Amino acid sequence: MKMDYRPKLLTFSLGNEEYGMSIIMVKELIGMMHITPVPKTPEYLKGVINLRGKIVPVVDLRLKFGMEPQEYTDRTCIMVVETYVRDSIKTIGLIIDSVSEVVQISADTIDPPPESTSGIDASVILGMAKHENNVFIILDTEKIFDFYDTI
Amino acid sequence: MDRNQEINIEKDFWDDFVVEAFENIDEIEQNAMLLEQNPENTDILHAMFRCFHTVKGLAGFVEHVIVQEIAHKTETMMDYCRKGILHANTDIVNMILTSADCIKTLCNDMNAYKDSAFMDKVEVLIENLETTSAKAENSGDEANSQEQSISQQQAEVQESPQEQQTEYSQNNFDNNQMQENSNVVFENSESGQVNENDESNVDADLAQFSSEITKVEHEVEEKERQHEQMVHDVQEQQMSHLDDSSNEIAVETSASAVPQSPAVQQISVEQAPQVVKVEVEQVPPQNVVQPVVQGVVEVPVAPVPESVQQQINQANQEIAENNLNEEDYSRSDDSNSEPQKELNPFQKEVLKKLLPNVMVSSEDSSVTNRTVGNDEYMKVANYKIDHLVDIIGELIINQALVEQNIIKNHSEDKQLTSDMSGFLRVTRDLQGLSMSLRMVSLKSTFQKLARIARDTIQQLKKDVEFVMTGETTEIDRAVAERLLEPLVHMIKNAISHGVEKNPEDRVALGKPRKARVELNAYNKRGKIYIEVKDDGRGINTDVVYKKALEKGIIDPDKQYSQDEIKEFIMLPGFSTAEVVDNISGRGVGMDVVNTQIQKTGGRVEIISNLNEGSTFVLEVPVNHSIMNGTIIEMNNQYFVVPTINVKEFLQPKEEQWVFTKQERTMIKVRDNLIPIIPLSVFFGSECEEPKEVPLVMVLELEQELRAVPIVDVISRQEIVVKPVGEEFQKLKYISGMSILGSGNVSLILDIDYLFKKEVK
Repeated sequence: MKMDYRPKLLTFSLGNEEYGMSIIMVKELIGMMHITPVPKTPEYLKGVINLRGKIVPVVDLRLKFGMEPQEYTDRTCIMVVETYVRDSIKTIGLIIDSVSEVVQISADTIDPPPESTSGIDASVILGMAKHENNVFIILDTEKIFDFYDTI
Repeated sequence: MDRNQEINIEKDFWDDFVVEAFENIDEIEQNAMLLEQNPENTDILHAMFRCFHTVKGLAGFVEHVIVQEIAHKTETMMDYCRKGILHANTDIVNMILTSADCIKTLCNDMNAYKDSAFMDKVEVLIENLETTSAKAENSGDEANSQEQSISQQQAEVQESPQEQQTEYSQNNFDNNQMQENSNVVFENSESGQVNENDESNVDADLAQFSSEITKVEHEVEEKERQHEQMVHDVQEQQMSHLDDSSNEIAVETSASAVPQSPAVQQISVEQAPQVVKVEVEQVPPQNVVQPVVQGVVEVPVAPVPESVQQQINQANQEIAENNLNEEDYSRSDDSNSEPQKELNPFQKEVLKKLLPNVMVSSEDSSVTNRTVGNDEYMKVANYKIDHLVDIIGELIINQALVEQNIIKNHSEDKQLTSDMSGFLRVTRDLQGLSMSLRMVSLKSTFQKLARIARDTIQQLKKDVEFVMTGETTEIDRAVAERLLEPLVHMIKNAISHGVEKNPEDRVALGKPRKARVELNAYNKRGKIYIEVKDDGRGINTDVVYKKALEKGIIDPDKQYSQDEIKEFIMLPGFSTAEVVDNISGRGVGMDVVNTQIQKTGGRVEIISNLNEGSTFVLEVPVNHSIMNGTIIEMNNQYFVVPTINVKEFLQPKEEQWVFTKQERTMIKVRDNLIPIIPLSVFFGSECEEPKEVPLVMVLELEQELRAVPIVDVISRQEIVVKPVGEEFQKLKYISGMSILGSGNVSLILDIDYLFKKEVK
């Protein structure tokens, strides 16, 4: 049976790779802002921001994926994502190099992640999506949130 | 009861059922304790009866047969109390409370009925209830024959000459009241019945509604009684008047039945006083007795003399005023104005405009008003209130940002500045209001405590009077929830440890034989104080010191003051009770109290004199989520410290420092050596300790001091505390987060943690 479902992905770049995040999960994109560091937490957890009165933790995805840190530029932004962590909705900010576009992909183009990946841990990859000759890494948000257990 | 029966609980209604049942059980508990003090008060019995009945009806919805059975059997027994056959003694009250407890357990755990130990208890309870009811049944026959003799008496009186008129009418009046009581009960059971039978249309809300109705009925009943009294008075006058003109009046008809007649029922329900007037005016001027259906007798009376008419009018007026007053009261926040006695239409119009919520015209049915009145209270889920408070907090923060921007960049724009200050005013009101939404009275907490006090007193068989004051004191819900557990410990302690085991000891000391334990709450300087006070033995500091020494929880070489020794009882693992029982004496009590209270940002104070008694005072903040914070800078980052714990700031001189291994470990301030909290506590071991310390913040908690090297003090302000997110729960050094005026997030330091031994 051919799946007629065509999910929309918000694509963004980290280093040389293009990533996709299900747009349903993305609450908003904000430019870099003051992040209050929280000492004694992993390095990739950059701290907390005030998102209109709500305190939201921010994760630097580069650091989370073990990539080289990079100076923040004016293209750097925080992608605010909402997802379920242990049955309650959590909001988290993800620092990404730059945001690209919104694409609608066909579900039948999604492939499982490759056995070995160059940069990042394969477990956070949900699958690989193709769209107009581009390949996106679809991230598994729940895996990104696993730091809840590690602090 | 069939033990192996699988109970098919209707899960759709379960949550509603539990909420409703708990409400009723709470009321039962409260009333049971009242009943114990006033065993003759049938109003209390009625109220409890209604609650059990509602629970029974509700249990019917969820098809919980055990709850139904318990409620039913208890009801049966209470019915005998109500009839005066059973005396509401301690045993009866115990049974009622046990029923309430069992129902509570069954509500708490849907599968409680599978627990055989618990079910044994239930079976014993039901057996007890049945035996008590059966006993009452037997003795009740006598009472029935008594009733019969009364009705015979009535018949006699009817035939008897008119000398007995007055006496009889009085008699009859009492009778009517009795009838009326039973009548009300019937109505109740009827409304309950509807719930049970009409399942298809009725949802759980209806059960709630029916309990509301019974409440209204109760009020109406009250009114009715007042009214009755007035009518009765009037009629007595009429009678004395009639006596002059005629000898033939049937006494029974005249006094009678007015309270029972449909017309008067109508009066009481609709509160339309005119009906009375009409009724009396329209009677034909003949002295004829007319029998009326269903035992109610219509009263033909002579034309009403003017004086009587006036009295009736006045009575009506009073009722109308009473209505008005009641409306006024229930909406007292809207107006304080006095109800007017005589109003012309114009005045009424004006008053309507002035007091749009208050009933001006007495024509309006107040029953409808009462139903509308039910909307004055609305159940709202806690999380919604919390959410609202959060959003308003966000609003305040955003507003602060805008405000700062205006001050910085647009200060010359007078219009904008004044608009902004108007805006500030509104949001401030809004914040105040939103905080008040979270405030609850201590009533429900106190009710639970009253129950615990009662049970403890009974269990220990001590002669103790338990008194509560200030239960209407309001407190943030979150704080109230945290208070229950500590207070339970404290009350149990006061009764078991505080009060002397032997009342003779009290008498020997010149104290009354009956001990007194008080639970008082009051509001002082923005803090809530709750004290548990007993007039018992007081704390024997010698015993406490020895015990503490024995347990090795104190320093044997140190000299302690009397007050310090008293506080030993709050140390973990301290207990002076010789026997560990299920009331108190596990040695964790006061430790738990102390920890719990500190979590709310409060503290515990002990006042105690040997042989005079002890008072434990809990001082807790009214509000958990707003506090005064001092913002400091260390290691290029701002932190918030609760201002209450900041003792002083000082610029240290080099000679004040005490170094150990080239690290600053202590600071000498006015002969005090204060331990330094190193930055690594906050920033981790890789953080370098600063070479220069320009400023030191001295923190104080329970007479202990700690010094924190800081860079600068920024400001002091009211801050909204936000809980630490789940992701940061394991970070001990922060107790919360807050958003500062700059819009940046700041971490609130956990003072309790900083004073822990491990931090040294």
